[in-house]
Amino acid sequence: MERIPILKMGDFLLVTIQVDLYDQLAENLESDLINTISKHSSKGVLIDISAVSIIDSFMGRILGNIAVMSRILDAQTVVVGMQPAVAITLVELGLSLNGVISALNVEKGMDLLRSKMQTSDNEEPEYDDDNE
Amino acid sequence: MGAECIISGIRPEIAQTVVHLGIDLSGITTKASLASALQTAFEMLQLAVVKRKKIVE
Amino acid sequence: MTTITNNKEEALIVKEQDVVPLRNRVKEYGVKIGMSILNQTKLITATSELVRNLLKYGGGGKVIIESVSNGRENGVRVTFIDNGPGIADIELAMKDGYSTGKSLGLGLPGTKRLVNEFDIKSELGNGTTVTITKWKNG
Repeated sequence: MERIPILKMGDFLLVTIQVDLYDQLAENLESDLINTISKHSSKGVLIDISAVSIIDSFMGRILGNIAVMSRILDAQTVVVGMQPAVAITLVELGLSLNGVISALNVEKGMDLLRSKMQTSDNEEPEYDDDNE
Repeated sequence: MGAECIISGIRPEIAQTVVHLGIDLSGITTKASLASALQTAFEMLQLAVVKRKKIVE
Repeated sequence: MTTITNNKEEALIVKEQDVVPLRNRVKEYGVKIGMSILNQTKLITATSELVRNLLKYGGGGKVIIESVSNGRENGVRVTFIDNGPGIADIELAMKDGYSTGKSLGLGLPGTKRLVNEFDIKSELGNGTTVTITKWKNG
């Protein structure tokens, strides 16, 4: 079963979607991402969609779900690199993607994630409370 | 009832189910670990935890 | 206004994995007539929505892709045919925000906005046929 790789970069997770998304793949991504955020107590998720040329209502909903689910797990999601044609089409489809924060590219997305982290918690506790 | 609620230690399956069912948790603060939940609670109450100094005579 | 068909092909859609090749074929038709990236995106997104309905509610079916011309310009026409349960109330299904299940419904009103021509025929117990047309500069 094809799965989209998730890279861990410290407190952040990076996902780059470079294949055509179909329903099962998108659902797997949602599931994998939430589990990975939980496992590593990640603070931020960056989803790079610069290579995605089609986002329909199903995909759009998955992105929205990921944003909300991450928030429940105390992580911020930023989507980067949305292609202009995709953005225009999503608006006409009537998909508002509320709750999904987007940035132009990976660098700006990382800056956004870091700044959002600073406004919430300050420092990590010194002792490790992981007891898996 | 005069108490703020913070939920911590939410399992990933729960987070997914909550969203799929369309339940809105936006009014509740949710934290990943008990430690960060406590930290948030202290911040809300403007409390600080300091180590007691040992008094040496 | 009569429409001439220049090229035509059929695809059977029975499983989810059939969707991506279909999207690529539709894209090829769009590229061939010189459709802009934006219009290609709209056409393929509409295709993606309708083929999902075909699979999810229609139990699979057939998709016909045609290269068409109305005398003034070229376009791509895609027809989705299933033998599923059919839609009870088409007018209701075409209303924004209507849904019968957990998801956001058939997405028909949104899909209609992406294309230039949208035709839907459905009969309870007799399946559904949806035809969309996107003109090159539409």
